[in-house]
Amino acid sequence: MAKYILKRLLYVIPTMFIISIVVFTTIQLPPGDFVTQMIESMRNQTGGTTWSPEFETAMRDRYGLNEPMPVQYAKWIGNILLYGDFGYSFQNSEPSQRIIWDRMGMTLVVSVSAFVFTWMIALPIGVLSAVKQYSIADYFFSFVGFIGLATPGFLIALVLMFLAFKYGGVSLSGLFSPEFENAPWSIERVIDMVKHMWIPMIIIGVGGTAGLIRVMRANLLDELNKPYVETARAKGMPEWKLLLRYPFRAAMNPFVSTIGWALPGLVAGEAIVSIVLNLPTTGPVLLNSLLQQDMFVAAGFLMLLSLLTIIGTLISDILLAWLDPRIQYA
Amino acid sequence: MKTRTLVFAFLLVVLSMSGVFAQDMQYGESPMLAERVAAGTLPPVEERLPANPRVVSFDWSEIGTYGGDLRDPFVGDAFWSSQMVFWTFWKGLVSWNDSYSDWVPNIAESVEVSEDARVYTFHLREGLKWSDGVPFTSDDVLFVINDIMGNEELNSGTFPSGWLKPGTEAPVAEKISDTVFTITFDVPYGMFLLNMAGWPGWELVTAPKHYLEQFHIDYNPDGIDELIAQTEGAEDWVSLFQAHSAVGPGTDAAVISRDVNYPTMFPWVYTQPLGTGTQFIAERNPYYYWVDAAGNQLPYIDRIVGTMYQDDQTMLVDVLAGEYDTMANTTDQQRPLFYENEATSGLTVYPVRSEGGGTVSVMFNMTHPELGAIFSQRDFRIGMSYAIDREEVIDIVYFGQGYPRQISPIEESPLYNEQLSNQYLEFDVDLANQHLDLVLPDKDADGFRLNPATGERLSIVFTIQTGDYGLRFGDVAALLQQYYEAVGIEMIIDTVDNTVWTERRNDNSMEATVFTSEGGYGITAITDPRYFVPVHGQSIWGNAWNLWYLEPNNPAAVVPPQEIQDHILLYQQVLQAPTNELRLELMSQVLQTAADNFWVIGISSPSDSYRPLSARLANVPESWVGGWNPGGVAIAFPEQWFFRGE
Amino acid sequence: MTDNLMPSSVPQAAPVETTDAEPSIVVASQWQLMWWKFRKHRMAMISLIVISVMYIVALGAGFFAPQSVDTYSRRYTQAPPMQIHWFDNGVFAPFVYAYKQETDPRTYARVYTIDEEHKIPLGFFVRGDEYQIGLHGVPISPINQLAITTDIHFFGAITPGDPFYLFGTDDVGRDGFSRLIYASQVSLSVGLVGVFLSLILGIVLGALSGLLGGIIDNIIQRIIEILRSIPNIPLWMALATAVPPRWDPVYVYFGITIILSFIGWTDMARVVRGKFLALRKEDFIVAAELDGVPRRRIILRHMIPSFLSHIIASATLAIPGMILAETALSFLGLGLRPPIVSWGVMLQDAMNIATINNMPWLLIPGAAVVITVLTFNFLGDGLRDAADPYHV
Repeated sequence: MAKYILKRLLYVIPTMFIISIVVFTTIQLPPGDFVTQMIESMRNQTGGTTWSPEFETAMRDRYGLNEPMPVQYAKWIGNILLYGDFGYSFQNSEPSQRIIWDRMGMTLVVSVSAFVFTWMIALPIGVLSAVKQYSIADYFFSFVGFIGLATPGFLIALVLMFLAFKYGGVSLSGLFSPEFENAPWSIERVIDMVKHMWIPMIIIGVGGTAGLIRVMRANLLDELNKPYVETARAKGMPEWKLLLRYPFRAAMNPFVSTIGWALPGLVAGEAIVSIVLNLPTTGPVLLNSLLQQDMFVAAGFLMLLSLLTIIGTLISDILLAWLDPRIQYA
Repeated sequence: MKTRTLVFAFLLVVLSMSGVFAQDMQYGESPMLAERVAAGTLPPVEERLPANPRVVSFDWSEIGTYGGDLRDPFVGDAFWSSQMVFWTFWKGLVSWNDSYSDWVPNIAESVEVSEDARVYTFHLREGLKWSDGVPFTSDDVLFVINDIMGNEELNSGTFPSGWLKPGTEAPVAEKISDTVFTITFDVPYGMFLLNMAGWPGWELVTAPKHYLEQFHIDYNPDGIDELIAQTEGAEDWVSLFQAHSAVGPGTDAAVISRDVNYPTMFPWVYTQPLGTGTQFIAERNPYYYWVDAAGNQLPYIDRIVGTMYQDDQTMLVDVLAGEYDTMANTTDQQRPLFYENEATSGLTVYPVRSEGGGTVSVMFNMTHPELGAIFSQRDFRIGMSYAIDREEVIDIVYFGQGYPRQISPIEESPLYNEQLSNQYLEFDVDLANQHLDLVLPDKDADGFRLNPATGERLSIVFTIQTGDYGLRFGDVAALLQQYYEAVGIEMIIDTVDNTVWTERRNDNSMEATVFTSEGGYGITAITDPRYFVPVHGQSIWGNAWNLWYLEPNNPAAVVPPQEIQDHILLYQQVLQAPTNELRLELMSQVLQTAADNFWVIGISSPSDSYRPLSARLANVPESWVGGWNPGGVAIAFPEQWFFRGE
Repeated sequence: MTDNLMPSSVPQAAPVETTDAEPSIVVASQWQLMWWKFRKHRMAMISLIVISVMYIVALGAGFFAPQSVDTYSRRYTQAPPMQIHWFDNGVFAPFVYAYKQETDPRTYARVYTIDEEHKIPLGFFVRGDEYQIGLHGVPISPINQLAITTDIHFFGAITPGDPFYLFGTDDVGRDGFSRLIYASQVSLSVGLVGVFLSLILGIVLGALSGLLGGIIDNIIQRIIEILRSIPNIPLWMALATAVPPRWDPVYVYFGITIILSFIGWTDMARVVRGKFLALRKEDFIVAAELDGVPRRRIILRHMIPSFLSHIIASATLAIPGMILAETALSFLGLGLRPPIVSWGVMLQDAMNIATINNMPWLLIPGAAVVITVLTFNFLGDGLRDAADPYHV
């Protein structure tokens, strides 16, 4: 196994190399560049009074945007490898790393709790739905789950918030009410926070869990009907022990195959939750940098996410082998 | 004893004669500042105010009380999107009067203009101070003109064209004393002070020399290398300066919202930047140079507290729930929400007059490489105008508000042109067909008109921007599509991101569009002539001509025909005209040419927008003119708003 | 785990389990057996009927929609849904009441009151807007060339042009019900192609990766990692400028769903691979291999059926994503262009507080998406149970 892991780690280098080229090329695909965007917003804001073609050229020279793409790429990747310098945000006049790292803590808190919450709810319900297939509970969770799945999470959030306002007269966005925003921790503050948490919880619960529930249910069903389960049952094995020992383990296989990919997701942030709770997470930063063509922030962030994808894949593969001893990587 | 009394009496006379005494009787200040004065951390109010502060009082205003936070939610950045720009800028050497019809002295106490409108002499108020207490002098203005705009390294070789360069030469700024200086232009420039009262005026009064000179090579030749080394992302002194200054080419005025040490002349100054959090705070400027009629230093409101949202819809719910004192960028569709929820939101809705000359414009790019030949025929445009059922558009899209109208200065404006406003307004399919038959006589089997140049069906792509400033370009376009089909014109609606819209403007591939309609109120037709003269980046009707005017090196630019060049020349004379009368006279000629050519199609008369503000706020005018040039809320004088019962 | 040696094909197992059934079952084919089993699954049967109805309505959109997709009414903008009264004085004569509309000049609220004086009689097979029999949203030219123009509608106001708005109207006064029907043409076809494509790609490449292992596995897994690192937004931004505006937006959208499916197969491939890695050492697979069963048959008959549930679940889960994909695309200006609508486009317009307050009926397309997903899911469940040899 150790040899396998070492081998896989070696593959990271060529893969990341290709990814860096792909990422760098893709973010340059849209027409124009950051200077175009900047001049456009200057035009909108000022009627273009302090702008001239000479200035445009000068700005491009300054940011190195006039150079051919291979040269730009070489400089960018060189700075990362040699100095760990991911470049500069045109928009915020700050190093790219700082823009991302400053929001990382909050992002991880939000997305890790959303992740744990989702799995803790989804897996038991999935098991229940499979064991009690076509029961009232199964239909109920299917129905609720599919509503969550088939409606954009943002829409559910809006409707819930609007109803809470209209019929409860309260606003439930943000993590705290304004009076508790900067208050020290107290029982009231905790209650206030819990009051604000329920909408995001419902949204995650309704929207995010549906997929997991359905997949768990389906895979468990595939296993539950297999003869070995009948045999074990006939031999008098307790039902829950039986369930957890074989079918559940087998049913976890598809989850484990992709669980590593949750890693980049955790860093990119849970968009809906941060919108409703109004938390400055990394997700909007990435979106904004892509739209504004703030390319070093975007490229740096995407490289980070890609690296996490690769690590995630490796973790998944290791977990797969651990979960099911029959799996061997030759 | 006698001599002493005499001297005292003499002093009294001198003081009262200088005019200072009358207003100096007693200045009031906010309790929050009084505390700091008592603690010895701030000089007394008499020393903070200039000798002759600007007294702001209107017949609709009363003496207010100090205090309170104005809670302002926003999505985006802490300066532009939060609209702090409106709360802080539009306070130049001169600024708008409250009816937005003329300039009044502001930072300058008075201005003298030479006969030929080339030499402007400014007299600053005595004893003005930046927000850090350092005196504001002529040097600060000269620093902008000579050391920032005029520095060849900063401006990439030439003084930036724009409001400070009406002709071909850079302006010459000369210091006469600490409070008196002149600005001289190479050509007559009658619009200078009116331009200054509008948007660009801030540039001359927002570069504190004492703060910025450390980043300027001419003033800090020895220490600058160290600063460059310290600043991440700065490679030379130019990028260092651009990173720190709010004024100058390549700078971002929003730096003020990030750098709390940046001294300004604003009524409120940032004390807590947004950073990566969700809140910024701007606190009253203790050195602000405005007072009310009773001598109380303005502003009344202590702080502006901005809260950032990730999304405007969640923000709206919170505003309706009463967590804020205002909200910007409201739309017509949200209007019922604000009225229905006045009780919970605690907000009153104020109508805001439009600055525009209509609601939206319909523009065909007469300079388009293929279709320009069709679009530039007046009969085509007349036909396309007759084909529109404007009453219906008004009912459906604009809630029945307004009446059919082309884009032109409004009736109350001195520039009103009856013909430009009311020609070709009737909805008449037959008449439309008659005019279109002159240009596009042949039709295909489905009844669509053919392009005479190619013999194929003429289809016109309308490029519609997704960001529509609440004007509902897309809905108007959907209706136009049906009206135009009825007269045999195939129209394709291409709704695109603003970037793509700009891209099509830049390479002149835009065929037609639905866009805004500036140029209605007062003399805004002069300050923003985009629908009458092709000198603006959004004059899509003459797109390649405006490219020629603005970016002559753009490969898509086209030299306009002589009559258009003459037209542009005439407009330039408007800007130069030394007197009001001549200016209006010349602009009327410009507008008459626009009327005779009928370049742009309008839909309906401008309709009011609105602004929700806390019901507790007093001294808010009943209504004001909204828009960029008047400065958003700036024209409603928020410095003298106050919270009742605070 | 010797129990797994038991053969897993259907015909042998079935007769044993159903000895009490009619004698004909002994000679029933595998497909007949599946159909009988499927029929017993009530939700699946209901879903099959619902789906069939939805596709029939979508195919005959012009006929079933009371109005055309872009007919609007100036007097009926933002009108709430109308209630159908089936009986008039005890006689079957369906009608709706007309509305009176007033726009408050101050608040801009559109206030509708029911006009009891003014009944709009409704009927079946009425005359109305002209339409062509064919696909409105999917302009497959041969079908449209054969199309006949007519103005007969299944149900609607007896007098053409009278207001009849079952699901209310939108901002511009267009009938929500008619638009929902026209929108289903795109939403029930184009989006599903993408789901199908990525499913096939995922299974094939995942199977290859898991079964063959070694260098093939390595290459496919690295490709997956690279594909997942491509950011979508710049890609769409580039496309939005590159696509000529005169191209048919449906084809553009179709192309985009194909691109989406080329990116979206990676999840399925990983899962299939994981399953295959586990299965390939299973006794029944090894046994089949020793018996000389061709590899293709092993995959199709033995390996894939053993996790059919997962495939069906994943496919149904992917449907809403594809149906709503254009919501995100229209944000970048790559969405469908009027007069073509889809549920995603309709829903996109409804996603703001003002609409939820003023016109909640614009959220109905959301219900349509939910129903579609639910029915596909139950259908999938039914199919799975029917195909499952162990399921009673």
